[in-house]
Amino acid sequence: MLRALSLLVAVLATLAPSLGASAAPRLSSPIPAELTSPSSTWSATDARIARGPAIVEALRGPIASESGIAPGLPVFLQRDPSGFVDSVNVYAAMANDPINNRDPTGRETGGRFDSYEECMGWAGAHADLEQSCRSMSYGQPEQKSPGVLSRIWNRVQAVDDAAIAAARAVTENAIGSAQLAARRNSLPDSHSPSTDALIAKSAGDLGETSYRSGRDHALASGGGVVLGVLLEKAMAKASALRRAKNLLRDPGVPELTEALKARGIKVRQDLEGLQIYGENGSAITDLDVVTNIGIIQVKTGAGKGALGQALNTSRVVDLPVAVFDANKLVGSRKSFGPHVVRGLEKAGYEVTDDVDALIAILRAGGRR
Amino acid sequence: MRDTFVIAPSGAGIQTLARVSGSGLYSHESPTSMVSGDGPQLVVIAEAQDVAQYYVEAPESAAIRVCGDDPAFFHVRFRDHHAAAALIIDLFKHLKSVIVDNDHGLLLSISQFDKLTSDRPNWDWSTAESEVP
Repeated sequence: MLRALSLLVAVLATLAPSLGASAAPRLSSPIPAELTSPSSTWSATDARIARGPAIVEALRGPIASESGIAPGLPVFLQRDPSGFVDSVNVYAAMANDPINNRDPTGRETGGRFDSYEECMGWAGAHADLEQSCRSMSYGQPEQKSPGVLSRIWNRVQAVDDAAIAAARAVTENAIGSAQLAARRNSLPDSHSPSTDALIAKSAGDLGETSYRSGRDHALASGGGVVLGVLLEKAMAKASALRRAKNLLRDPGVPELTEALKARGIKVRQDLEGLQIYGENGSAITDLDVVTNIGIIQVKTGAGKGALGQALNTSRVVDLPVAVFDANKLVGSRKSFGPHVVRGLEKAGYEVTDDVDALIAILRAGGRR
Repeated sequence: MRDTFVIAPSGAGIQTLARVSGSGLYSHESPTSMVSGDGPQLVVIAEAQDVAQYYVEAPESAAIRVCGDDPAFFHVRFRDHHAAAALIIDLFKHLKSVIVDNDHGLLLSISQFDKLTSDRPNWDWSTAESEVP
């Protein structure tokens, strides 16, 4: 009897962990159940497609925008798909500049510049960037880009792995789901252009939802989550509309952009309004006008928001920052309030409503 | 992004307002800063007592007198004025004595703001210098 009892206790002890596991609450997942169910198991081909360039392409979306990045979709910073091949730094494949550079296949190297002159055009008067331009091997596979935004990246390097992993996971599932949907609709199980287009569209549509889910999941996972910099290419969706109707662009930005270009200053219009997120997804600042000589924060009206925006920008961007009173440029009779100007000057920002003076301020290094 | 400022009676806080309105605002960073939407619909609202320094002269100082002593200041940043208006109304419509300052000369009570933006859906109130279209 005692022996039988001992045996029973031993059997229960063996079963206990599995019983406990089945009773434990399941962690919630941002991935819809239908995408993770056994019926949505992917084939090896699916997995290869989904884990290769398609991940990036899904984030970019189906329609090529001017910048080559998706209308309607923010772009997560991309880590090197090849892992640590280029360097122990998984961003090295993107020349340490995952904002400007992409390496969807994991096999590409190089930056954005084709020549020293082009590099210097962006480097402007900055001696350290000039040195980078001199040392660059143009046209060679090893060339590295000292792009303007890499200096932003230097300040906002802390990107939470969970944010990227979560977004990537849900996007991969979105692509898998799109492929399954294509099959359910009896489309040929091949990669004909029409199938690929359907997959791309579905993945793009789902990708937007996936982005939100991924972000929310990353944020909800806590632990000091840092989203880092997300290129708010959702703005690209609006950019066509903005260009057509001049909507949603900050007042004064189109006028200043044209005035700067007329004076030979290079303006990164694709980065207009770039939103920079900080720890836990807080929206720190946005960059109104990004040029090769610095960042310009543009305001009209009394300019009450100028100081906060300028200070936050200086905090995260290692480039000259200047504040421009665009009232005169847009034909308004208003100007920054005296208290606003005093506050800006006290913080070291010279305020001007003159484009030539603005250029001089930036060339002198911006904030004093 | 564009700026608008909302001035409310003392004690108004974003977390409480968001909870009352069920506005869908989210924040994982700070109890004084919240976000709604993203991309072109992104609206950021933050408690911003530092802007009180800009409300010491007319007409702003006179307009915010209705908010009482030591009012609460909020800085709203946005790209789409429709999204911003919807959020401001959602958050503040339950409070009396709230002023919306678009920083371009327009100073409206929340009820005026609600009515005007409803009556004129195509009106870009964010850069208007007066309530006259």
